[in-house]
Amino acid sequence: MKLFVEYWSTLLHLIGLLLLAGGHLWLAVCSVKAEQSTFDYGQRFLLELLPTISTLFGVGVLLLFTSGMAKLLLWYEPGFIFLPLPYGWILLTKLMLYIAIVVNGIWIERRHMVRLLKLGLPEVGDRISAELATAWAALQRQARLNFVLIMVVVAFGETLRFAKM
Amino acid sequence: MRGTLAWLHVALGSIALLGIIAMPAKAHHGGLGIEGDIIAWSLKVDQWQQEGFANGYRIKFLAYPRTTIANRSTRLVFEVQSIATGRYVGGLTVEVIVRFPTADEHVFAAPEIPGVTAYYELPYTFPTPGEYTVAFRTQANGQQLTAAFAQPVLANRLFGDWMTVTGNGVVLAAFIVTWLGAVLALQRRFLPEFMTF
Repeated sequence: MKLFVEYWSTLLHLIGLLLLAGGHLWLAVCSVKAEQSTFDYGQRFLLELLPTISTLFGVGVLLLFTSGMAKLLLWYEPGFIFLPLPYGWILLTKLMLYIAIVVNGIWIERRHMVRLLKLGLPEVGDRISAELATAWAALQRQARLNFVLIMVVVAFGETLRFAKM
Repeated sequence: MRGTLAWLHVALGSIALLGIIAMPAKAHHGGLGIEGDIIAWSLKVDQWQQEGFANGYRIKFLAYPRTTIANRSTRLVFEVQSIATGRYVGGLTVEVIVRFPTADEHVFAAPEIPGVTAYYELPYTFPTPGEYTVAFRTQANGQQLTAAFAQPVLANRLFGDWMTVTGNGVVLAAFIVTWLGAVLALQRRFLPEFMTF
């Protein structure tokens, strides 16, 4: 049973990482490519896709949290995170960064996503308005911040393998 | 050509993924502190928590669970190793003295774990919280080996020392933030008319 839970939580953690970290990576790459293109097709495509992307990121966060919690419960230690060992400090940092990522994600969704959806996309052929462009730029800025934080968490996750318990 | 490149990418990605998952284990005598334990199995790290030296021998100690709770069974595990030869010393008659915060002492035998040379274990339930001392005593080659280890015992698993409170607090905060995020995300999708901010 333990191995079963261990296997599934590892698998779900990897899928969560693919969705959240991989998704942010692709969003960052695609948004830069779209910025550099002469026409606004790329921007339109990303803006249309944003609600779906947001849902996938949300699923990724839930998978990461659920699988992480499953592992902590499985290993069971009172105090959960193995402080004051190096492993515990790294895990504590990871969890705090995770909280920052989720809070930033909530902010992106509640503020920028809602604003973008309210503004809506202009008809094909019309130019993207300055207001929409500003909102889109703000969303990208915060998404890149989240991307950096996620990469730091991933790096800490790899460091955990070598941390002494 | 494009297909070959794509498959090459898939293969390289798979190798990288397998490399991440299947890191080689660090070899250690008889595995790790707790044989077959899922933490050892998953993290492949040495779990010995304290060690003492006596007459040319190293005596290692761990309590499992690491954070000991009153009225819950705890495994007290010891290992004896010769410093000069590096050999692990089995077949000893070991006594464990549990010294209470009140200075009372109780003596127990800690037999060698069958099939694991030089591991000596005693399951013990600490009756009250406080600072205990767990002393290891045996004789090897006519020499007395003694080592004492400090073992704090907490009243409960939620509150106790700062480590427990911090650990539980941060996990709780992560849970609350995740829950809040999930609720707000569902609200935006299904009940946008109730959005207040």
